[in-house]
Amino acid sequence: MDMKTISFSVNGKPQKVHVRTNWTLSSVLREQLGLLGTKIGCGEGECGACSVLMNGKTVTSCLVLAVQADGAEIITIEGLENMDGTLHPVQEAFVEAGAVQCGYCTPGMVMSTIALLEKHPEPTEEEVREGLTGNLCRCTGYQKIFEAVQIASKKMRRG
Amino acid sequence: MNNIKYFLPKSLEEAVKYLSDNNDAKVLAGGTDLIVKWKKTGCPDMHLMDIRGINKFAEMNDLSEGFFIGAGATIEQVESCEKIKADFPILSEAARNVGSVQVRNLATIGGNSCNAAPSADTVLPLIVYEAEAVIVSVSGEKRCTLKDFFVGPGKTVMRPGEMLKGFVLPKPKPCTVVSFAKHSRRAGMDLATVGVAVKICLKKGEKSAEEISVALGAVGPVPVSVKGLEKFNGADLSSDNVLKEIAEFSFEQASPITDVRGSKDYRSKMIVQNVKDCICKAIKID
Repeated sequence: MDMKTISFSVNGKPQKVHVRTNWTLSSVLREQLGLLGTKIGCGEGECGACSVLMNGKTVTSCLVLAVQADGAEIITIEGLENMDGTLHPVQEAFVEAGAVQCGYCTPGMVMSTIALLEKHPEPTEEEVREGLTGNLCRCTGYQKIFEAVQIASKKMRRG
Repeated sequence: MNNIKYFLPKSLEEAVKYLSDNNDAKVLAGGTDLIVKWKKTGCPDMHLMDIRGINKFAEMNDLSEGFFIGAGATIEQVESCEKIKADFPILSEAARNVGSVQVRNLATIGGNSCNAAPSADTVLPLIVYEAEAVIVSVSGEKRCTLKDFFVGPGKTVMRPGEMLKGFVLPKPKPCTVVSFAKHSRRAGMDLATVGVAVKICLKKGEKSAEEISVALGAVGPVPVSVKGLEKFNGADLSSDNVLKEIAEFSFEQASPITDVRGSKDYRSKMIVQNVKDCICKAIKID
């Protein structure tokens, strides 16, 4: 069984992990590093539940081999909280809008929203829908999530 | 437990040499097709050479004969490249139609061709833009026009030991108009039921063509580059009859099948409709 040691930054902390070459980034984040916020849904890059930021861009971590993350900077949902324990504005917006039901898709939705607002700080409805295309939600019907994105946009622009 | 043998070359030369010595190695670029297939087949043993660390594969630059796009450029890089938006707008548009944001951040333009799916979105604009695939091996470089690159579902002309370095796209003539359509069940995260790319060189100040190119996707075992369209050179494209003739002529070269995305009959109708719509859109007729 081939193993490799990878060094990468996860939520701002340097990590050195010995991984099997057939492990995905999502399984290493959850099983090696205990970061259970990143969910594994379809495992095929369709549902977006495992979305994390890799070098500033959202990726489905179920399609990335852990060895490919060597040297990368990874941000997961656990890395969004402020130093004082308060929530990131996008997380706050999801709470305020009631954009969470079972919650399984939420970490992925939040990560995609962060990337979306980075690109479009004041997104149109179409840009919101396009930006969240890769994230499936089976509970909410999406409307509350789209509202949360607009609330987050206002919060982030206010600073 | 199954194993992955993983190799990360540092240079193009090292990659080509490794592939020559290890014919069983698969080239890993974005992984959005390869890793999915690997999982769907029960995660068998696999030998991978990961080219994402080689900057040369992701380069995009001007050459004397056209614009070069490295095989390792991500779909997102292709989508957002200003030069591509200006000179090859339907390539940018097709890139924007691939998968989701997350998939576009990982997937590569080279992988979209090397996976050789008949429904691949970026392949159709590359065909009508007359792109050439640059194939490298230890013996050197060779070129193959993209319309001749595909030999079957999942199969390309590349032999063991060869890999795709990128594409060269000649600059379109000034009179060129283009359009692209992806007809699919939902707007995002879906494969094309029918894909169409059209490139027309218009006669100056007229709605007639000097040259017409049409490529069709998801309607046969390989992407279809419609042959024999020169018979329509000079035809009046504002005529409904001419549009219908071109669309039906294009359809005759497709071999659509019934699958989960659409029936043969539905696909057939959508080929004709989308070719007509694309020509109208390209030459700006409502």
